[in-house]
Amino acid sequence: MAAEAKLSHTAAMILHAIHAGSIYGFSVMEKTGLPSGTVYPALRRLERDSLIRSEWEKQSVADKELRPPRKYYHLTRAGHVTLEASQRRYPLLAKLFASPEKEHV
Amino acid sequence: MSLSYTPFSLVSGTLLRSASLLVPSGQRSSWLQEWRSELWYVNRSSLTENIPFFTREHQAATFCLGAFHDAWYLRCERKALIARTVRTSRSALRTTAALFVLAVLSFVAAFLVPRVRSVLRPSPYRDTRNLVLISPQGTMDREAPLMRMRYLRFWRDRATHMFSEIAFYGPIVKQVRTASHHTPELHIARVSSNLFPMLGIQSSSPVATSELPILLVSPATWQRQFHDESVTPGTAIKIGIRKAIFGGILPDGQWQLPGSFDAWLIESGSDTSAIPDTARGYILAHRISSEENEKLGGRWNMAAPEPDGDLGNYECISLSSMESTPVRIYLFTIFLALLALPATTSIPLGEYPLGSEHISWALRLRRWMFLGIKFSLLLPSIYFGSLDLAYSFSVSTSGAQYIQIVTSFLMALFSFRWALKDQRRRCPVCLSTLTNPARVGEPSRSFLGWNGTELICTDGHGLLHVPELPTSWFATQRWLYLDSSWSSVFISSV
Repeated sequence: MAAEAKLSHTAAMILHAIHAGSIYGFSVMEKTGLPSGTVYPALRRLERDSLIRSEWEKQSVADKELRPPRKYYHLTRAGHVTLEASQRRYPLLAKLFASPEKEHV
Repeated sequence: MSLSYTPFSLVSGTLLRSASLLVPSGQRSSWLQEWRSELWYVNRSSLTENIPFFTREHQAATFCLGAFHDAWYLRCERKALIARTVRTSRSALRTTAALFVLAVLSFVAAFLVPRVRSVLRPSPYRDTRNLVLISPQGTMDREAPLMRMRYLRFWRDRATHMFSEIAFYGPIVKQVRTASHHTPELHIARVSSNLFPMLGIQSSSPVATSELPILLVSPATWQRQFHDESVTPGTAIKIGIRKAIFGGILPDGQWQLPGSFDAWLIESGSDTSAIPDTARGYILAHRISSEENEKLGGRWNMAAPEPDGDLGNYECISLSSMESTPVRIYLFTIFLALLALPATTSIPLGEYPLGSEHISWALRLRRWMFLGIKFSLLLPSIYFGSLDLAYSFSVSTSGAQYIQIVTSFLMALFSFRWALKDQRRRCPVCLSTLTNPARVGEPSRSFLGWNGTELICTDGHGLLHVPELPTSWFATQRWLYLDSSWSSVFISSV
């Protein structure tokens, strides 16, 4: 995906949220306040454009904690470049979302 | 906390399951797993916040409603991906283009041949439903001039309850002599003076009220015989030993009654006494428009007294029925061809896995549309092509109708057969023609084993298995979709 790709405000928000450490769908919803019907399709689009990638948590890890495995999302290299470009376009978003903090499950 | 503490409610579970039906089947299980996992965390979050039950359920249901957006997005994405990657093959486009050209050519040829053009044109005559041709029973198809002038004279005053007017025309062959002593021999229709007014043909001849008979010629005869002559409307000419007046040219398409003529000799006067009783020809009558007469339809038989005292059986057919004969022949032969089709080829197109994720509904529809387009282009080609052949090579109308029956039937049968066979030999995904046939199995060595021919789509969409001998477990050809693991084998696979 081209680094110059112009993201919508919603997509940029989600990208920031993932960068800020909300790495699965529900946490992105909590962080951004967006409804599920917006967040999940946006995640698919970002993944289709190779700005994020997804991976399933290992079953053994989830079983150990008696919960279902999660699908995690991470920024790709192209995602980072696009994020920087979107920070210039939407400067308030960078302030809204704090610096990256890995969420501990 | 475990899953057992927060089971999915019936509402949430049903919503997710319903939404999953929109997701392409290949992604469905993974999608459902993610949403169920997410729902688990939504429920856990509600439990830890001690939210009342109904509010908790409402939150979960609201969350699950978003699944429909997500599922719909994935569905649209899948369709767009398929549309981007699966293009209609060139061979299918070429076939469609060839059929289109064939249909256009047969249509153009139909309008270039004057006789076919006159068949396709609407009748120039007025009230064709009530204009009826009368001929002895069983002779209508022969188109021979079997009626005599004396019948007309006998019936004219006796059939007034059914016919308002009766006209006659009969063929004669005479030499026409002009002032320059040029004497061509012409096939002339000697017509009673009321024929053209009855048909609704307005004579533009300046000599319409002449006491002498008037000769009208066809444009072709004018070109062939008279264009070098100083013959103008009103010029006196001799037909055999009789004097007549040259009346002009009858335009092409104005004569659509049985018989082919070079010229028409309109007898003067209403008594038509110049036409002898024994003259053979055709009788045309105008049926009185009444409820009782309408019930007779376009073709009926009647018994009528004859001048010699006998009762003769006659067949009456309206000009509108004669006009629609080519269309009725066409529809009948199409019906016959459809009946005969199963005897020449198998009708089923084969077995194609219905639940396959490799082919969307849009692609399935495209395949059926391709078959539909082939048939819809073949049908007009058959109609115009059969008319072209029938009316270009036959002089008589009945001969042309026989040729049309044969050609239309054969063309329909073989073209439908080709359309089905062609469809069976195409990839259901990209519609390209399957290639690389390979013989598989040996019937002598494997009694219950499969043997036949395998064909492959060069774009890697699948394999076609055609059994050598249809059996109860393998009766028709079977398509096998190839999954994405085969993509590396093909250069331009999906």
